[in-house]
Amino acid sequence: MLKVVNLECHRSDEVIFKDLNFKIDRGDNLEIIGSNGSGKTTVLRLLLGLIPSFSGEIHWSTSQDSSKSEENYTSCFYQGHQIGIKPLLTAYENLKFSTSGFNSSDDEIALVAKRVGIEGFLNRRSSDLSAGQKKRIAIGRWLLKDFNLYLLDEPFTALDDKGVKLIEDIIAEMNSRGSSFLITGHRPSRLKSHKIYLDQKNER
Amino acid sequence: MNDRNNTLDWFMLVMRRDLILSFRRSATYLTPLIFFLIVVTFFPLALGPSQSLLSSLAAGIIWISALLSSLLAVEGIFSEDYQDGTMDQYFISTEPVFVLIFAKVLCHWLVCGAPIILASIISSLFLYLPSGVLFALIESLLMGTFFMSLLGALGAALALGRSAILSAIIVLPFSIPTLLMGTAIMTAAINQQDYSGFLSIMGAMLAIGIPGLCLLTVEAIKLNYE
Repeated sequence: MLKVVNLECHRSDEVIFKDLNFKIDRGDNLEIIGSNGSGKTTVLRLLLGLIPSFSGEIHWSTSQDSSKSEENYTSCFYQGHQIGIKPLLTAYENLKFSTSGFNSSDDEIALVAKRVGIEGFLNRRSSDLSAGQKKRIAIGRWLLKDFNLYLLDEPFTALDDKGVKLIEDIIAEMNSRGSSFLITGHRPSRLKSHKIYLDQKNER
Repeated sequence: MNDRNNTLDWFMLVMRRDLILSFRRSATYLTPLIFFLIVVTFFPLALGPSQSLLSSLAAGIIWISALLSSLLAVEGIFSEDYQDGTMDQYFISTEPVFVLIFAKVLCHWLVCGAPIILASIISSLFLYLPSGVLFALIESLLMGTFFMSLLGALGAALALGRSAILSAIIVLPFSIPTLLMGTAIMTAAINQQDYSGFLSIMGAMLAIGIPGLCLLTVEAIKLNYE
C-alpha cells in the first residue's frame, strides 16, 4: 500500500535521517522507534505532505494490485502530538466534529465511547477531563470510520496499562479488517509489527 | 459516498464547531463589540456634542470603528486550530482547504461582524447620522465587514505564531479600497444620490475576494509548514 525508498530529510543543513526504506501492506503494522529529535514526527508529516521538502520516493497504491501507484496519499488518518481535542467542546462533540466522525450517528458514537471507556463523560467539557481521558477520545476517533492507513504519533503516551492494552486490542482488531498502522514511539511496543530504529539505522 | 456532499458536510462541520466554540467563549463576540462602542463614544467626547459636526462625520466614524474592531477580532482566528493540530487535519483531508477556511471566516463574520452592524445602528443615533441613510449604512457595512473578515484572515494566516499587531499592519493598507467604497456609498446616500453603482463595486470586490482571499489564506498558512 505504501512504499518508501531512500527517504532523506534535511532541516537547516542538518540531516535528520537518510536511507530510510520501508513498505507497508494491507493489515501490516510498522513501528518507527527513536529518541527525542530523531525525526519520528518528521517522517509522518513528510508522508502526509505537511513537510514539502525531502528527497527520495514515496509510492502510494490505492487498489489491491500494488503495480498501480499514485502520487498522493489517500484515505489516511493522522494523529499528531497535538491530538486536537478542543477543551471547550464536550467529549461527544470532540468525537462528532472530527475527520472521521462527521458522518457518524449518535448510536455509533455511543458505541465507540463505550469501547474506549469514556461513555460516562460524553457530555462533560473536555477541559474537565484528564490527559488520559482526552487520549481515549482521540482513540475513539480511529474507530468512527475505517481508514486504510493510520499514522499515529506516539499513541501510547499518557495512557495507563489498561489504555495501552485497549490500543493493542483495537489495532489487532482493525488489522484483521485490513487497516494498517504506522506508529512512532520511544521504545518498541508489544504489537505485532515490523520495527525500524531511527537512531541506529539497523532494521530488524 | 458522493464527493460534493462530503465537502458540504465538512463545511457544515467546521461552521457548527466554530459557532459552538465562539458562543462558549464569550470574549470572541463581546470584545469587538465593546471595542467598537468605546471607539465610537470617544468621538463625541473629543469633538464636542455639536450636532452639525457629528452628523457630518458620523458615517466616517462608524466605518473606521467597524473596520478596526473587525480586524481586532480576526487576529486569532487560526491560532488555536494551528496549535492543537486541527489545522493538520484540514490539510490531510482530501477536501479543498479553502472551503474550510471560508467556513471559518463566514462563522467569524456571523459572530463578530453581525453584532458590530447592530451596534452601528445604535451608535448612528447618538452621532446624529441623518436618518434617511441608515439603510445605506447597513448595506455597506454588511459587505464591508465581511470583506474585512476575509482580509483579516489572510493577515492572521501570515502572522500565525507571530505578534498579533503584525497582522493588523499587514492588512490595514489593503483595507483602503473597502473604506473608500464604504464612505463613497455613505456620501452619495447623504446627498440623496444613487449609490447602487458603488454597492455593485463592493459586491464585485467580495465576489473576487471570497475565492481569491481564501485561496491566498491557504497558501499563507502553508508557509508555516515550511
